[in-house]
Amino acid sequence: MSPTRTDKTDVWQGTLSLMVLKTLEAMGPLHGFGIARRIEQTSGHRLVLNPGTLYPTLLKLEQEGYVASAWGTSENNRRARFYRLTRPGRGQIARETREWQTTTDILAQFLEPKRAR
Amino acid sequence: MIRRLRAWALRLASFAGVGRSDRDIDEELATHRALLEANYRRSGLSDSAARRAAAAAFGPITLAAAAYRDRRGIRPIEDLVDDLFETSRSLVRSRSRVRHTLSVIALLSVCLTIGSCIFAVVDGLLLKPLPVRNPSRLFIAGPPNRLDPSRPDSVDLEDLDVLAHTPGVDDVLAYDFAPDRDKNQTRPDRERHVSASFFSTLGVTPLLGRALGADDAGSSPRAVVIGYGLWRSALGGDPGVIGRVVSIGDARVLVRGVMPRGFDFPRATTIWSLAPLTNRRPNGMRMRSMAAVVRLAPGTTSDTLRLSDNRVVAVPLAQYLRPRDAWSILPISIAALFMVVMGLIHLFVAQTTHAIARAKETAIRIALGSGWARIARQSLCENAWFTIAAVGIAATMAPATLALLIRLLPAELTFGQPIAIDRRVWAVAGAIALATLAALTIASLAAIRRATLTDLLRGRLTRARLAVGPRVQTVVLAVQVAVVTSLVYVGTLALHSFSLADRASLGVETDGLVAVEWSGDLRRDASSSTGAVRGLAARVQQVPDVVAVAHGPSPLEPNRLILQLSATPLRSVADARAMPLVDIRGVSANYFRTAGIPLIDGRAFDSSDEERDVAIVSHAFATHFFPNVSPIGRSLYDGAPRPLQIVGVAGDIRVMGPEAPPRALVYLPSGAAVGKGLIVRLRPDAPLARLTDIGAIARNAVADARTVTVVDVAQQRDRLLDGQRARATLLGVLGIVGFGLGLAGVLAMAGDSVQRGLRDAAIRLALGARPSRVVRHLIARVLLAVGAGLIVGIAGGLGAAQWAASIFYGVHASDPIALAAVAALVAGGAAFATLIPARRAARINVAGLLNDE
Repeated sequence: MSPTRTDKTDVWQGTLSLMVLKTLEAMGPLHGFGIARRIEQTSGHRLVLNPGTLYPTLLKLEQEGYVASAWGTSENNRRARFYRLTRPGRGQIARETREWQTTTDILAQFLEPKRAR
Repeated sequence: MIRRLRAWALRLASFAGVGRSDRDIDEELATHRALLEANYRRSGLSDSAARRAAAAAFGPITLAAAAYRDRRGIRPIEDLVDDLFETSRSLVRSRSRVRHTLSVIALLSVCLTIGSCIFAVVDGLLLKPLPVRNPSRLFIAGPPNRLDPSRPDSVDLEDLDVLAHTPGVDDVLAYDFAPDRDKNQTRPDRERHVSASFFSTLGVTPLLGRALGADDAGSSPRAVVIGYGLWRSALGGDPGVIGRVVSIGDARVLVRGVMPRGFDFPRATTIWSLAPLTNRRPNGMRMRSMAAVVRLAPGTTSDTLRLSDNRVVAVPLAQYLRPRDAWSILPISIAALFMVVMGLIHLFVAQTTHAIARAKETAIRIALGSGWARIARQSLCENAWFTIAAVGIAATMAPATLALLIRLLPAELTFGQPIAIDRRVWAVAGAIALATLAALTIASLAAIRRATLTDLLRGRLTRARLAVGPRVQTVVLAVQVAVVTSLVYVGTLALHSFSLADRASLGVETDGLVAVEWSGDLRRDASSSTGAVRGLAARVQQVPDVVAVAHGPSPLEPNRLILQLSATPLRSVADARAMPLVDIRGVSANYFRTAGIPLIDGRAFDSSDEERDVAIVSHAFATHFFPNVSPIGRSLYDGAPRPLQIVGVAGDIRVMGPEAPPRALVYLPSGAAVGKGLIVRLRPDAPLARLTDIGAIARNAVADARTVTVVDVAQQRDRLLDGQRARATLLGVLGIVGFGLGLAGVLAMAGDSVQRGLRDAAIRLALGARPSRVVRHLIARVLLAVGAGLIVGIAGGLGAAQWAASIFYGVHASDPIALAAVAALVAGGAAFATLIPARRAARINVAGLLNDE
């Protein structure tokens, strides 16, 4: 049974780009639906991805040069746009990963101060 | 940062079709939903259930597409572009919209064209920075002029030396007081001899080439710097002319440089050359022949300047650098500004009427959910289209209009001046036009927004709600009438002046009078030069249709020969230096009769006078030097051993035109001896070919035939009147156009005012009021406004006419007949404009009107 709408969480602001880039790094070229599905699966279906959020993010990443896209054919033989990671995209994953780790470490010190000490 | 810039660049590029198309976006989203639907089917849902589930999970596809497109480009710009396209179509959607669009664009174009042309003239003549370095430190200095002690007179070499050694004076320049005129040119080309310090003292740099230096003195052909206007007109604006020897008129000169456009000092000079500046001593008389300009050191005032006799007048050079009479363009500028104001009033009426007509449409759009911001944006887009079209039309029309305006303005005012429309003017004019339209639009929209939706839908929005209530309308109407009255009054005076100037007497009978002049010597077939001139006169006399020939210059040629004269005996050097300059003319005994110059007092010269020291003075000279006494028998002192005795007083000649005061002239009986000119009186019906015959005889007689000029004095008169005629025509045309525009405005506003009162009129008529009384009530407010406007307009016209009278020949500021005629014309026009809608009101269908309400 799929989780109900209320169980799901909106994607945090600014995190979707990293999720998309990591998904493409792990899965290779994917169309928008594939990316959305993979992110939802990876989050244990706790995240819901609205196409009105996903596609602007994909376009933004493409405009910034982190991903590239090309038309291809989907599994049900429909024309679909496939996104793939670029070399600057890989560099961006490394940068954003470091920033997130720093952020989560700092937050962890606030949330579990004893262990941190 | 680079990545972000790249993203912005791509978003901007999307306007040019780069990147995702709308079709791509729709297809990608459709694929996403199809894949989602297929996924639900695989999980066991039926086709219809899978479609519903996919639709529910995906949400409205249009919202997703809109978010996608927002990221593709820049939303506000995309909206603006969409609105621009949409409004461009709506402007021509219906016949009434086309009419409104055309009228707004036409009004704006006229306002922009007139405004930009007048600005170009005012800017070129009055506002442009002076073309010299630190003009506040430059002064023209010299001894006080005897005729006008507030002006400096000319100086001599001793004066220049004293000025140059005065503490606080950085530099001194000098130039020949009287220019050499290239007589074969119809343009006012004048060459001035200047000192080598001329350009460096003024701090001016030529546009092309270089200024003259001391090393150019005495070069052959002589080195010159030429003016911008002459460079363009005589040399075709050829930049390769620098360093070349060219022919200008009769002269061959080496062009060293071209001065920038707008450099016009000394006035009307087109050629500057170096020449040894000396004290001229014609006929043994000492003469101050130069003008001096000093550059003061910083912090020094002109009070420190002294001449040898301690008397000096210094006038800021800035007064000489602007064209003379430059301020005379102001009345024309104000008249043109009035036209622009009237155009704006029409625009105001057109936009307000349009806003009322569209109020219902606006209400419907609001009711359908369209936001105010979008409506305002679309209105502003309409204004942008109006502005773009109007600026485009104005920019196309302006060069021809400006050329016409310059042609109508006096040539001495505009020649060589930097009058042109700067491209930046269009940006500013467009911004002002857009801001004006936007202000009108926003005011209308704000009023519509204040009204209730029900009122809007029922068409109950009135002008009162649009801040154009009856009072405002009455004031606007009165202002229009006032402006029209003033403009038409000044225009009438101008046209009256035109007809007066055309008939104005300059003191000479110019019709049939021909002047022959030459430079250099005559071929000697007589024993003396006097005999040679007499021989030439005798040969000219034999030409058919020649009535009389006299020795002397053209009566309308100024500055033939200038000498210093005094009415009192000279007792000291200071006296001699203080003598004023007087226009001297050597003439033969029959000169006055031939030229048609009346003798007011005394006698004419006779043949024995050539051996005697006698003079005839002009009436202006006599009244200045011998006020309240007869000058006959009095003496004039010129430094020569024997004084000149005055034997007659001749009528004045207005050498500078009918509006300028007559020149003080002294005639000496030595025409054949010193003069290089003849005047010839022809029969009134003489053919033009006689001028050619006379010219041929003169060319045969003169050593250098190229220097001979044969001038029709009537044409010289016409040239003197050109400026007057031009100004009068321009104001007259503005007056006529202004009257037309004003009448149209009054017609529109009076019609509208009556229209607004129709409902009340209908009720009154329904209650049994007499139609004539109702009509009277309807037009009362309009007539009140017209009356008030007439009073203000007549007062304003009288004020403006004070100014106009100072520049127009023969008219007085208060001309009761013209005032009455203008008042009758404007009142008649306004009454006509009011009666048309009033007559319509008297025939209204009362029941129909009340039903409509």
